[in-house]
Amino acid sequence: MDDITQHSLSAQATDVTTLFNLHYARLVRSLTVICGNPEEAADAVQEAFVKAHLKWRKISTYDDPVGWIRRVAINKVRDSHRSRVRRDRAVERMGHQTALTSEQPAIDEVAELLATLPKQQRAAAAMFYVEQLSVLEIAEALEVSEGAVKFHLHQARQKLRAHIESREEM
Amino acid sequence: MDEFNDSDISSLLNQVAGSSPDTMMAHKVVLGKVRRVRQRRVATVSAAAFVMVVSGAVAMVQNSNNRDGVSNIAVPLSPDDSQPVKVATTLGLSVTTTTIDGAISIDPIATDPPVGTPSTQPSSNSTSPSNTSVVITTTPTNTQAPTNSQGPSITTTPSNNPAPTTSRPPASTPVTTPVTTPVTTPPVTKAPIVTSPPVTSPPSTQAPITQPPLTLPPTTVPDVKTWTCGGGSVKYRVTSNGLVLVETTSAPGFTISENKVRADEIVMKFVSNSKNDERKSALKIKRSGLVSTSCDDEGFDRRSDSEDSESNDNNEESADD
Repeated sequence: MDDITQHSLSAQATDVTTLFNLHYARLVRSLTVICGNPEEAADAVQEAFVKAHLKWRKISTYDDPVGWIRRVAINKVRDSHRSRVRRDRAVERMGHQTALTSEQPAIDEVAELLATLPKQQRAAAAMFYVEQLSVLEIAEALEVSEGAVKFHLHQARQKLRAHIESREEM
Repeated sequence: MDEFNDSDISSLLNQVAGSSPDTMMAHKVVLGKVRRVRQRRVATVSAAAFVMVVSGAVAMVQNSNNRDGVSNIAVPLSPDDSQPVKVATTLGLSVTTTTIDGAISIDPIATDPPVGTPSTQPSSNSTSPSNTSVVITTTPTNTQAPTNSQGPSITTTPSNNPAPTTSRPPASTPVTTPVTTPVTTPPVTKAPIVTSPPVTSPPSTQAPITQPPLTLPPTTVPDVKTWTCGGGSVKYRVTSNGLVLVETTSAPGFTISENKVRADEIVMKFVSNSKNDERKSALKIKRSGLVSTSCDDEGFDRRSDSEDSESNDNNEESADD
C-alpha cells in the first residue's frame, strides 16, 4: 500500500515537475510582458504551480492542465495589479506621489509602449509572440472569443509596428 | 494566424520578456511552498480532531456524572451548615422545590421565630426553645399547600419535632444550633420518606421517626420506606438496582385501581370503593438520580383529613437515594 502511495506521489510529482520544467520559463516570460515586472510574473507562476500541486488529482483530468495554470497565473497578476492600483491611488491621495514613482520598475522604451497598451492587447501579444500560442489557446486563456483575440492582436500589432517603423526612421 | 506573424515584433517582445528564469531554483521554491501548505493543513486537521476528541470526552464525563447523581444526593444528608443549600438544589429537581425554598428562606432568618411560627404550630415552639421546630413545621406546610390531602401532615410533623428537639440540648447556643438543625432537616427529608405512617398504623410511625437521628445517612441503609397518600400507602425499598415494592396498603374504603412497578418508578392509584365517593389518590415514587415521591389526592377534604388522621405526612417529598 505504501509502495503504491509512494509510486502515485512520485508519479504526480513527476507530472507536475515535467510540466514545470517545460512551461515555467515560457509562462514567466509571457507574464513579464503582460505585467512588466519579471519578479511579479515569477511569483504568479509559482503560485499557480503550487495550486496545481495541491489540486493535481483534479487538474490532471483536465484536457489542458497548462492552460489552467496559465489562467491562474494571469488572474494572480491581475489581482496584484488591481491591488497595486488601489494602493497607488491611496498613496496618491495621501500626497506621496514620490513613493508611487519609486515603486515603478525601470522599463525601457518598448516596455513603456507596452504599458500603454490595453491589458487584453498586451496579454494577447505576449502569448502570441512570446509563448507562441495559437489564437484558440489565447482565447481559452483569456476567456474571450477567437475573434476578440484576433482584434486585440491586430490592434497591438499596429501599435508595435508603428513604434518599430518610427524607430527605424530615426 | 499567419497574418499576425511578425519577426520584428516577436524579437522586440522577447527582449522585453528577458532571459529565461532559473527553473531549478523556482522549482525548489514551489516544492517548499507546497510542503508548507500541506504541513499547515495537517496541523489544522489534527488540531480539529484533537479538539473534537477532547470535547467528546468532556461530554461523556459530564453525561456520566449526570447519570450518577449520587454525589449530589449524599451531600445534603450530612449535617453541615453549608449543605442545606445543596439539599435545596438537589431537591429542586423534584416537585418539592417549594419545601426547600421555605427551608432556605428560613435559614438566614433563623433567628426570627415569627417567620415560621405563625404558619406553624405553637406546640413546636413550646417544645424547644430553639427555632428549629418552627422550621421543620414550616417546610411541610409549604409543601402541603399545593395538595389537598396534606392538611393532616401538619399535625404529624410535630411528632417529628421531638427528634430535632432532643438532639438540640447538646447544642449550647440556642440561636445557632437551631439554625443548623433545621437546615439539615433530617426530619424534613427522612420523616416523610422513611416514617410517614400509613393511615392504619400511626403509632408505628413515630418510633422510626425518633430513631433516625442526624448521624445516620439514609444512603447507607436500604430501609423500607413508606409513602402514604389519602388512598393508601406503599412500602418500598431503594436498592442499587432501583425501586423495590415491598407492600401496598390501601386505606379503608379504597382499592388499588392501577399499579405500575418498575425499577425507576412506582405508581399506585387508589379509588374509593363506593360509587358515590369520587375520591382518588395517585401515589408516585420515582428514582432518577434521587428518589422523589409525590401524592396527588383528588376529592379529599383537607379539614376533615386533618382532623381524621395523621396518615398523610406530606404531599410531595423527595428524598435521597
